[in-house]
Amino acid sequence: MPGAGGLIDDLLRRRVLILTGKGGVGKSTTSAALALLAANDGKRVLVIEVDAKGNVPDFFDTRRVGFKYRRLHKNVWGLSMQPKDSMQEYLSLMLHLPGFSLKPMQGFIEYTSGAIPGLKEILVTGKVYYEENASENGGPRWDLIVVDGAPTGHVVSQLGAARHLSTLVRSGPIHDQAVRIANLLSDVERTAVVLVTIAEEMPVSETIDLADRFADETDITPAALLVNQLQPEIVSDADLPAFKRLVSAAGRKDFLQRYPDGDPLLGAGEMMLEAQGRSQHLGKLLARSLKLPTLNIPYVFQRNHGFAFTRTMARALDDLR
Amino acid sequence: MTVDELLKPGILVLCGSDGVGKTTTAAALAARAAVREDMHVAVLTIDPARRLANAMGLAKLGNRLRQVNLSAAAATTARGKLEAGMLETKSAWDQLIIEQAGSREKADKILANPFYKEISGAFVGSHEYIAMERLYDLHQSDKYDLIVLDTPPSRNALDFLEAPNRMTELVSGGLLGLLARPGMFAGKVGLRMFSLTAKPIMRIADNLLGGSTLSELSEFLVSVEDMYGGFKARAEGVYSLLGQASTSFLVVTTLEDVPFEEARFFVEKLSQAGMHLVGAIVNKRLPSYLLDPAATNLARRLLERSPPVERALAENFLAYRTLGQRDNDLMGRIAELGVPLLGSVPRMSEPVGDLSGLLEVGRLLAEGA
Repeated sequence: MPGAGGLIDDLLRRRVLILTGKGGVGKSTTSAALALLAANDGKRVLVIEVDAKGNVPDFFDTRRVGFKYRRLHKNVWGLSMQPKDSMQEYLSLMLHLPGFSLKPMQGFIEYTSGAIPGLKEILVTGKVYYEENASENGGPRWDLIVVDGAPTGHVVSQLGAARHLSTLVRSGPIHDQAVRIANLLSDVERTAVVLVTIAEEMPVSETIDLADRFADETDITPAALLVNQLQPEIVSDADLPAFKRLVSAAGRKDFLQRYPDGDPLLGAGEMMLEAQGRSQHLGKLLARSLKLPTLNIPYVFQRNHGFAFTRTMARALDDLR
Repeated sequence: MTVDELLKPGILVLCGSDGVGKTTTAAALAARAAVREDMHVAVLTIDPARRLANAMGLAKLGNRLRQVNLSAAAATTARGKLEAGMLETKSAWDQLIIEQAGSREKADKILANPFYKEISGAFVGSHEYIAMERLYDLHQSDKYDLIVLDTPPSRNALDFLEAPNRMTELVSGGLLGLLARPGMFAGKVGLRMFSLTAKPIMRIADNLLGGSTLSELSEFLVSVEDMYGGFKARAEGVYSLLGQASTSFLVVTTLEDVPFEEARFFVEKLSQAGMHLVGAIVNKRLPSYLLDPAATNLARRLLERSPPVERALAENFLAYRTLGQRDNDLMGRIAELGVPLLGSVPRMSEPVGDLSGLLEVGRLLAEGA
């Protein structure tokens, strides 16, 4: 198993990174930070937002993106999945028709996308496949595609849709295309599915369930686990026992005698120890249950969001290399 | 309005981002209604949180509602009843088909069809549909005074609001509808359009899907055709149920940027849809002592000259202070949501682990913002 630094480089050498996890664990931030890190290495990076909510551009302080990719930062481009546009593109590729000739059938296409099970879901991975294959000036258009993926509840259906569809539709261009997409997703050389979590009970248990579902329902094996928002090491291991004593009942009394205003400091100290205890316990649980190469990312105690935050986080990732 | 005023006969729907404590809030409100208002309450969650199930004295939550033993808490005098259940998408779909199919034989045929399996299990959004279905069922049963529904943390509130519409669309619209009942499609786009486009459409469909898939698909559709009427009636029922004055929507958030933006989004969508949005609830508030000026000064002083352990304590405080500031900023902006703040709950060091913990959360919520 590679160390933290090795793991980041191991992930960034793939063609496609797909991040998933329970909502609120920092998928979008982490996607943006990984994209920035790769871009700083000189790679051309595309970030694909799967969620209609799409706030990845916020992390680069730029305005929202549409289905056509747009530059977000030096070496970083972004696009957002739009069901209608992606269906048009998909069908025109599939039928070898120019997009405009589909216009009269717009209504029909909308119905169709809702009606064929799995077709809507395949659009997302289909777009990833399409961009992975796209070439420009004689080389691949992108060095790396980072997908800010669907949350735990949806991601298995979404990533598994191509394989499902290929068994449901057993011949014709939809079938062939579905097979190619499914093959890209399950190819560990090209694609890494990354589970993102934080060290809290619900996100951790959902992550463990998610790994089981990947194993049971798909031919995709997640490549790594990222644990976000861990307590940074403010207290060194050597000082930890003394720190615990300080926050304990006896230490408290003494500290408050010297510093009557010190109660909030002790309170915050206690919160940190609680969080640390929880992280350790859940970290062990994750290690035992998942056996995945794991990257622990410290909490960024910073108020501002947007690009300033992305940069700080990319730096934190870089420090782990 | 207070939280206790929400605990009246009707339906309470909680919306909000993932991880904001929606499920706990739903369970806490339901428990409070049962214990304090003596109501017969059902709480329906989508979250398989085992600890929460345990908190209600249940080994685990299942698709079938189970009664929670209220006497476990210091609530022996309560005459109310609390039942809890979890949405399991697949089994809820199966149940729906069995109810709607008319005969068991017919239901089995549908349940075995590969297309049905895909529709019920695999497609994104089936959770939202079935949540609404179950809500409708529980309401129709007339057993409960109050039903509390914890919605899927759907990033797209539209999925959930449009669930009833999309359900009929799923069975009656699109290619499915066209194949099974061409007339229905014609009705939608006009007969003239239909005759113009039907042939190329069928050719495209055939080209895309291959012959055998098409025939399997239409076989499936013929078998569910009889159910169109039932589905449509139910979908309309669900929609009118959501719009009733006795159905209230609550938005739950934490004081973090992303959930806050989500809450704003939910408020907007629910208002647009004309739903009865009553207010917001804030969870996981950080203690206000993190902003204490005297403590801040002390921390800054300690950073300069003191033993390493005290320096670490100071540094840690200042790190947490930035979170306290963010909390405070967003609390100041809560009015931007455009709905009243009904209650808030402080951050807890441990997740709620028993019924009295749930009742305590309910009490904190009832205290107001």
